[in-house]
Order: sequence, then C-alpha cells, then structure tokens
Amino acid sequence: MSRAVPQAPSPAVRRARAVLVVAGAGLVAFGGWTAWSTVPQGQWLSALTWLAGGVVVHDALLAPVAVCLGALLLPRVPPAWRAPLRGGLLAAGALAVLAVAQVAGAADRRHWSVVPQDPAVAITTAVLVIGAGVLLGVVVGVRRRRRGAAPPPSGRPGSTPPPR
Amino acid sequence: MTSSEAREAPGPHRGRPHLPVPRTDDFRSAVHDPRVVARVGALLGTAVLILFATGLVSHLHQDPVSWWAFGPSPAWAYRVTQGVHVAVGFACVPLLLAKLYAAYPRLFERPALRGWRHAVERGSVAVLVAATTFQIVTGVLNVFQVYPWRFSFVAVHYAAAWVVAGSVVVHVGVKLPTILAALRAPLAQMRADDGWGRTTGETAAPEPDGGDDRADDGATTRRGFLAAVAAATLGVVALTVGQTARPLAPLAVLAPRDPRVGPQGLPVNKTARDAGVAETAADPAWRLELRGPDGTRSLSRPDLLAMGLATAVVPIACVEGWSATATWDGVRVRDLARLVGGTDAEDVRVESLQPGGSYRESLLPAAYVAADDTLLALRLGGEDLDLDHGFPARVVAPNRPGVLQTKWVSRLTVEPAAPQGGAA
Repeated sequence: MSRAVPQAPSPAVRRARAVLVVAGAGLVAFGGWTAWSTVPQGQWLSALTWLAGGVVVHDALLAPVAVCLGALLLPRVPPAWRAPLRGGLLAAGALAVLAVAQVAGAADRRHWSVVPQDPAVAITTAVLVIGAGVLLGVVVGVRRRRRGAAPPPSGRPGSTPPPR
Repeated sequence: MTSSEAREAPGPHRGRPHLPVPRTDDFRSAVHDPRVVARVGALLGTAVLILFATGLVSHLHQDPVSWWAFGPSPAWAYRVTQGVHVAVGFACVPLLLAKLYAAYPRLFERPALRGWRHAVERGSVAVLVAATTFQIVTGVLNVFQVYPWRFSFVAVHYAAAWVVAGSVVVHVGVKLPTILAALRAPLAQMRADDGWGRTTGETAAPEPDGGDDRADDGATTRRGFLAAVAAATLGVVALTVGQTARPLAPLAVLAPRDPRVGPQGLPVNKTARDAGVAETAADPAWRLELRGPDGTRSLSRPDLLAMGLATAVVPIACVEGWSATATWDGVRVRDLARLVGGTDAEDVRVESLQPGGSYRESLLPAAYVAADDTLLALRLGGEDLDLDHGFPARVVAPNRPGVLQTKWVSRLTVEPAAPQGGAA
C-alpha cells in the first residue's frame, strides 16, 4: 500500500529531513536568541506563562471537552448530521476565541471606533451563521447519501447507539 | 466535535476504573488519521508561511535594514500584506483547533518516551504547539486591543514568529515520511497500518460515531471533517476580512474594526487624550518647526494652508489589519524640506507633540519624502483634521504602516544624508 510508512526512507527523504531539522532548529535558536536579547527580563515570566498557558488550556480543557462532546453527542444523531455538527463545534470553538477577544475589547475601548459593533448582536449573528452552516451541511449530506448507491444508514434521531 | 472516546471495557488499562488516561489506540474516529492530520497540517503550514512572510514585511517597515528598503509604491502594498497577515491569523484559529484535535491521540502515546531521540521529537512538538497557540491567541487579542499580559507584544511576537516558523520546519522534517505517505494516500482507503503505530483498521474497529464499520463511512467522516475545516476557516475569514476590504465591511461582525466607522469616517487607534496631546494639539499657538541644512523655520497652520494644498488619496493601513482609503489635503513633505535646504535625497525625521511613547517619532526615508503623495496632511475628506486623526497636522504617505503615519506633528528635520542605508 502506498500510504504505509516506509520503514527505510529513501536517501533523498533522509537528506531532506536532515536539512529541515537542522534549518528549523536554527530558526528556533534565532527566535530564542532574539527573545533573550530584546525582551526585558522583567517580562519573561508573563511571556512564559502565556506560552505554557495555551497548551495547558487546550490539552486539559478544550480537547477533553471536545472529545467528551463527540463521544456523547455524535453517536446519538443520524449519520448525516455528524460531519456538519463536528464542523459546527469546530466553528463554535473558533468563535469562542474571537468572542472572548471581542467582549474584552468592547469592555475597555480606547476609542469608540474600536469594536464599534455590539458584541452581543455580533456573536448571536455568528452563532446563527454557524447554525445555518450546519443545516446546510445536513441538507448536502442527506442528498449525497440518497444519491449514493449504498443502502441508507440506519441511524435516526434518538435511535439506539450504533451497532458495534 | 469529536467521535473518539476512551472505551470503557477491555483494554490495557483494565483495573484502573476511575478516569483512565486514554491511549492513542483508544481514539477510534476516522478523523484521527494521519491523512487528515497531514492535510490540515498542510493548510496550517501554508498559513504559517504566509504569516511569517507578511509579518517580516511589517517588521522591516518598522525596523528597516539597509539591504531591504521599501518605497512609496505601490501605495496599497502594506495594506494588502498586513490585511492578509491578520486575515490569515484569524483563519488559523479554526485551522489550529482542527489540527490539534485531529492529532490529539498522539498526546497519549505509550511509552511516553522511548529514548532521547523520541524525547527530543516530543519536546519539539511541545515547543511547536506552545509557540503557535501563543502566537495566534495573543495576536487575536492584540488586534482587539486587549493586552492582558506584561510583555511588549511587538518584541515577543517577533521573536516567537521565528520559533513558530522554525518548529514547523523541524516538525515537517521529523514527520516527512509520514506526511508524504499520508498526502499520497487517498482519503477513501481503509486503514491497515496508519503510521501511528496502531494496527487496527476500520474493518476491525468500528468507530463509535460512525455506526458502521465500512471503509466508506470512514472516508465520509474524513471528507466531512476536512469540508467542515474549510467551511469554518472560510467562515471566520468572511466575518472578519471586511475590516480590510471595505466592500465586505457589512459582513465583518467579528472584526475588531469597521473601516467606515470613526470620526470623519475613519477609525482611530491612538487618541489625542491617550497620547497626552489633547491640549497642546488644540492650542492656536501651535507652530510647525522645520530644521534643515539652511537653518530653522517656524510655520503656523495658516502659513501652511497658504502654501497651497495638494490632495492625495492614501490608505491608512494599521498593523492591526484594518485599513481604509481616505482623501487627504496637505503640504508635500518634500516642499517643506526644501524650505530649509533639503533635497529629495535626504530622510526626514518626523516628531510628534507626544511627550513619549514608542511612536512619538518616525523616519521618512528619502524615497517617501520625494513622493507626490507624501503629505503633511491638514485636512481629511475636505474638513480640518479631527483632533484624534492628528490635528493640527499629520504625516500620510503611501505604503506605510499606520503607526508610522505620525500624528500631531511638531517638527520635521531634514537628516543629513547617511553614507549607508535609507537613501533612495
């Protein structure tokens, strides 16, 4: 199978890997040196906290929530709903990041032209857009499945968990 | 947004009934697949490349080097590069979430460390994830003017950009065989050996959300996920890019700015009050001081208006990504420089009434000074400048970051032509 990982990469791939790893390490080192030489020492703690904080929030909070939502929600909806819902949840995650920024930006404007819109209206609009996108995805998915030669999937809303 | 779960029943971690830490093998969804990870990764990697290149442009505008000089033409260039920078940064929010989500099972691989090479590899992924998440999250907050940290965003963003770019390159190098195989493999193919050390295929292990163990269903799941990633990414861009592209402004509900909203129809970044010039700028005793090889001159606003005004249609393009074209009337900077013996070959230092701050002065390179559209602007859209737009006088020049379009100008100094750098 072409997609199986080759046990022994070709010499060209091996060379490319070595070049990429060394070049990348060089760029990282330059970034580290730039930080070391231009960012005042008093700011390091804050920067490192933010650096680690993103990983912690994702790995310990966002990802487990996503995994649990998927494990609990997706088996309970018809197959045609699963991909659109997954997409909707992904979009909702992205919206959450932007919404936090927008609400915080609107809460402490330096000038009235910063976040001139009402965040509540804006975020509601975005949620409706996501909802419309999910419904559109369901319609497309249902049509695809009908057109497909395979027999229609058995799942129905509220139906029992899929067969194992 | 997931289909994976930690199976309850049999498994290697039997005997630890309470909240077992999942293992890579426990994630059964067809989404957690190298083919999906590689495709989302290709998109994210391309985005990082664009961010790095456009970010470097902005950095070199603000921190010029002798071997790479920007000029006033084309006038729209900075507006485009910085607009793209921020739009792609927004697009990275769903892309990064999707990439992390698809590859999430790898966090739980066992044994956690297999020797020093593996430790270095996992360490490099930790750096990659931390730096990229940091860069995207702080970048988004920054364009909304939210600064809940105690570091200089500009300096840290610049340094972190090299770390992100470098760790992406390292990651591609480390994963190259897997990436090449995954990108070549069709999404529809069944999974026999997925390159993640999992030997189970879709035929052997039905995914809990699939409800079906046919390879066909796995392919549908993968395609559906990639389509969803594309839709979410385009959606985020569609709802924000109107801050740069004015025709799309009505759609930009999630953008920090509306390019049509502000005094005189133009957004404001730094206000006169914040800059500490609210009184000095409004004072009728204001004079523009000109300094050059032929001495010093002092001009009042009526003196400047009497010189005859040139009109320039020039965008204000902010580092925060928003931009808006405006019509400015003012005196050409090169005409002011000539009043004190300047020629088109010298740079001009622009100083503001601001008592302090990183952007209280800027250096207009000679190529900009010589341009027809580089003005000491006195009027905007046919009216006197609003105080927050830099009254009594501000610099506008084509193809410049907004932070260098110095407002509340108090002094222009013709700099002696330097033997190296800057000269056009």
